[in-house]
Amino acid sequence: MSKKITCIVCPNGCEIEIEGDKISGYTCKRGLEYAKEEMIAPKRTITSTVKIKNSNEVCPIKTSKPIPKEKIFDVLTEINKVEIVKPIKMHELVIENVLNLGVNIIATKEFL
Amino acid sequence: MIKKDLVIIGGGSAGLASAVSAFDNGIRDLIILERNPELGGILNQCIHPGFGLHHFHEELTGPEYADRYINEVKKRNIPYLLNSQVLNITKGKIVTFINENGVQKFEAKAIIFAAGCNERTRGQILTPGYRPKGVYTAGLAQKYLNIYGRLVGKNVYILGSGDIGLIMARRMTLEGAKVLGVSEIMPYSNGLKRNIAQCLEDFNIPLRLSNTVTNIFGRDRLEAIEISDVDEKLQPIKGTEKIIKCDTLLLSVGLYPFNSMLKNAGCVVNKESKGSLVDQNLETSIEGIFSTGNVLHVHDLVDFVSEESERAGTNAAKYILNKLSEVKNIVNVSHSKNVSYLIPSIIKVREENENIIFSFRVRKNIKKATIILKNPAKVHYSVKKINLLPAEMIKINVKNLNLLDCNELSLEVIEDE
Repeated sequence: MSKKITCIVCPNGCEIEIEGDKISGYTCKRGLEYAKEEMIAPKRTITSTVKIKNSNEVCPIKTSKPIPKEKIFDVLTEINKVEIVKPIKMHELVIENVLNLGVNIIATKEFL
Repeated sequence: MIKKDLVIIGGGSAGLASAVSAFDNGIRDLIILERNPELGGILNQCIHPGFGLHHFHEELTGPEYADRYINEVKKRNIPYLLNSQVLNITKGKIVTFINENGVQKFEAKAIIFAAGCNERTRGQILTPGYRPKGVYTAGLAQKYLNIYGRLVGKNVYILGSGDIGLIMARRMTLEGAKVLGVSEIMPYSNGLKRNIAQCLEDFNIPLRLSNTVTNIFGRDRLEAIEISDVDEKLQPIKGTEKIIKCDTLLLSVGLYPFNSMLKNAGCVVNKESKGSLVDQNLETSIEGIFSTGNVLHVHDLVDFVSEESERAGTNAAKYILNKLSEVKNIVNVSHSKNVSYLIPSIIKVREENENIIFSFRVRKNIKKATIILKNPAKVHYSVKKINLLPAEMIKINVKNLNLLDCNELSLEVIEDE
């Protein structure tokens, strides 16, 4: 059984073909790693925003590492419960070890 | 009038990078004018990852990428004015702008125009039907959501498969909206392949190629749209109409350089890229006015905007400090028909051997090609490339071009079997 996936590691978007334990079409190490992981346990880095107290703006956040694809909406539910307070530093911790996934939610913008 | 060596118009990725490189090349009397309340430009609303792989060799989100350059600007104490909208630029390099202190003017030795691009709107693609609430450009919806936390609708359809449309399909899905599909009038998507995979396929959002929106319904709020398949001439095919109920339509139908101010100043326009016509130093037809970033030509990657803008900053600095040697020859640059635009349009030859970066796009998908640079008598350069796509800008860096005895240079993309 063969499967074709598009690599999402970089903007090149290589078409990778997986046939049994033969993987072809990748053009870098990270692409090969991505293809292996995509077959066993697909993961994604998630970005969203959290509320800032007394502000009409929201603060962009990201997961510190990719999270399992099937946990995306559960993690978003946790993110939407949070409200943070200014000043916010770049990469400030917003949620530690979200849902025990071993991944933190961190701010990706500074607010003075 | 206040005099400045260098006025940089725009505090986004292009303006920031050019400011840093102009400073590092010896310019101290410079200022950035930014119309928004913060530096960083459109990067601030692009909260997704995918930036910086070329430039910083790591994957950053838009605000993180902007932060790197904002820090560089602040480290050098490069002055900037926020909430300052430029109104006018003249041939004599007088920049008129307005902010809370009223209308002011700077007289500049050089200008770097880095004002970015605009989204094409419904009016520009002439979609028929009613004009209800609920029709937004994708970037505007992105600003509402990612800066202000406001979701513009719950049942969304997207016209155009450019990257902003794809990114917004995922973003609105993550925020709880139902994205019903994406229509693309062309037989291929203009977005990056990885965005089709991670923004549409991950969430089972259908992509309809050779399909477009042919009617819009709803008097007050958008109620439904009609989509149709199109033929090779991009004309809707009768009998293929389908009604889709939705409250929101996002348009991701292209970007164009926000170049009107330079055009009004008298800079010659490159009709193909819709930006200004520039030489290899990114100088426009008016001496001392440089143009860079998305206002010159729309880029797919911010990394390339930064690189181009560092060049603009370096060259503007050389111009101000009189470090550019005399022009010995001028070469007009043309291109083959399968190229949609090419930068630069002219080369001002100052050295025996010039290093020149050419940026261009092809009109259609080409699997294998040889790219050559030639004048009628001689092939100066040749390189093979694979998988050329209209959606991806191609950049070639040509070293040691001897153009002293050459008047015409042509870039040709030859399709290989």
